[in-house]
Amino acid sequence: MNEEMTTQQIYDQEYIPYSIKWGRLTSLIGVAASFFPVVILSFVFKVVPALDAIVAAATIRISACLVYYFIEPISFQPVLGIPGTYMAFLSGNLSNLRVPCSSVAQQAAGVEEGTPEGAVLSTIGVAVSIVVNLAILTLGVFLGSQIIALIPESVVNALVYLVPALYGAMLMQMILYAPKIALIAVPLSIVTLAISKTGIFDSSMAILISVFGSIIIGRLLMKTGWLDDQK
Amino acid sequence: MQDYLKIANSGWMWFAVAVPMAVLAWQVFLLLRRSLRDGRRMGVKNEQIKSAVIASASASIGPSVSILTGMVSLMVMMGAPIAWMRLSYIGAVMFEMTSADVGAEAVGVAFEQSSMTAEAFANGVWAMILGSVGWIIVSGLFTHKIDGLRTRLAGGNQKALPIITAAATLGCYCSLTFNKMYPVAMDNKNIYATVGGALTIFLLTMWNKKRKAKWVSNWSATLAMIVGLVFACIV
Repeated sequence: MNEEMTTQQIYDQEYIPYSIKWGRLTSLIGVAASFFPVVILSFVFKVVPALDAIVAAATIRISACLVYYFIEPISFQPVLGIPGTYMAFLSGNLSNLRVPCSSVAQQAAGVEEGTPEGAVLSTIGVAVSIVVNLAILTLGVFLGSQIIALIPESVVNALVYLVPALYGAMLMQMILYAPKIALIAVPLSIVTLAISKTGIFDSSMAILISVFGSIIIGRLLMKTGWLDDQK
Repeated sequence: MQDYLKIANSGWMWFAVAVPMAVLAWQVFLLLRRSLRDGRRMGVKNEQIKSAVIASASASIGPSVSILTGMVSLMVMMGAPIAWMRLSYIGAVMFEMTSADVGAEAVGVAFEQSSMTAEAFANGVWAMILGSVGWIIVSGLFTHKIDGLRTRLAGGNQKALPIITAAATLGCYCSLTFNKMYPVAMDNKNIYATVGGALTIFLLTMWNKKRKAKWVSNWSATLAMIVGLVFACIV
């Protein structure tokens, strides 16, 4: 018990305050740094698009993505943990790489998601995926687009199935880990998705409803004692 | 080579993308170092860290190669530096291609290599950046607030946190998975991939229940991806 307290204290009093302070700072510096390519284009190459063209294109993109700016951090944060969230969002490729890798790392290490140890292992998993992804893309740049284009079409098409397979794997892992909660989450998610396909609300809302619906129903069921035997 | 591609592939552009990449490296270094240090103090064993590294690295390879094949089209259109940076920093293939396209259209240029101009290229880069910083601003400013929400839902009960997190994780993967399985039809091969992945985990977990073999936890996700891919391609 004593040891558990210590872990929680390290997490609450040192690990998380550090992660928030530096994660937030580096993320916000990252926002400014991401403009550096257009600074170089403007001042070194003197290529500046007309302001209305910049605004027009940005408006189209921002209005298309606006909901996701909020939904994705809210939906993925429970898996990623605080430090993992900063890193995953700064590095991108969220749903196809960072989120599954965070889960994979936590499961391989045998830690529970949502615990201090879970946040540590999630961060390690996300960091490793950033390094591997960067290494592969860097290799690709050295090989050049002509060489990469030699990868047969059939292989390229087949690779598309890796991510759905990974989702299926992660979902099964969670169902086996928390079968009772899965009894709520699975039907809820199917119904929510089916409704979203009819156009009543956007499919981006479906993930948010699935996540929070599961949380809220799970929380209510905890009070009944039905989930007491869940870890 | 098109004129704009001389700019897009210039040393200056490599320098321009190196700066944001350095910020990412800095963040990863700080947070990873702290996680390793505090993790050990929390009692996380080296064995566990090793397992996590093996599992995450092997699971990253397949999807990264898939991203790489997507990077080709971005490299052709926007040059190597921007493609390389955007796919390791904030972005994802679909988002970047659409942004570049929208950027070019906004200056009245078709998004084809033959008709692209320097201005269209630059506007594409502007659209990529302006369209994506919202994610970093929201996650940068509100991550700790979102976590506070989760803690509040747990009602100060430490034991409730893992259950709530499990519920959230389940909701998240249900949504991602079932979205891939839609529409439910024989020719939606994503369904076979998902089922293959899920079945692999189910069988491996059952088989490993008593054995507790380490390789299973390290490699199960990668194996599941391979089986899922085979299912999708054979069925």
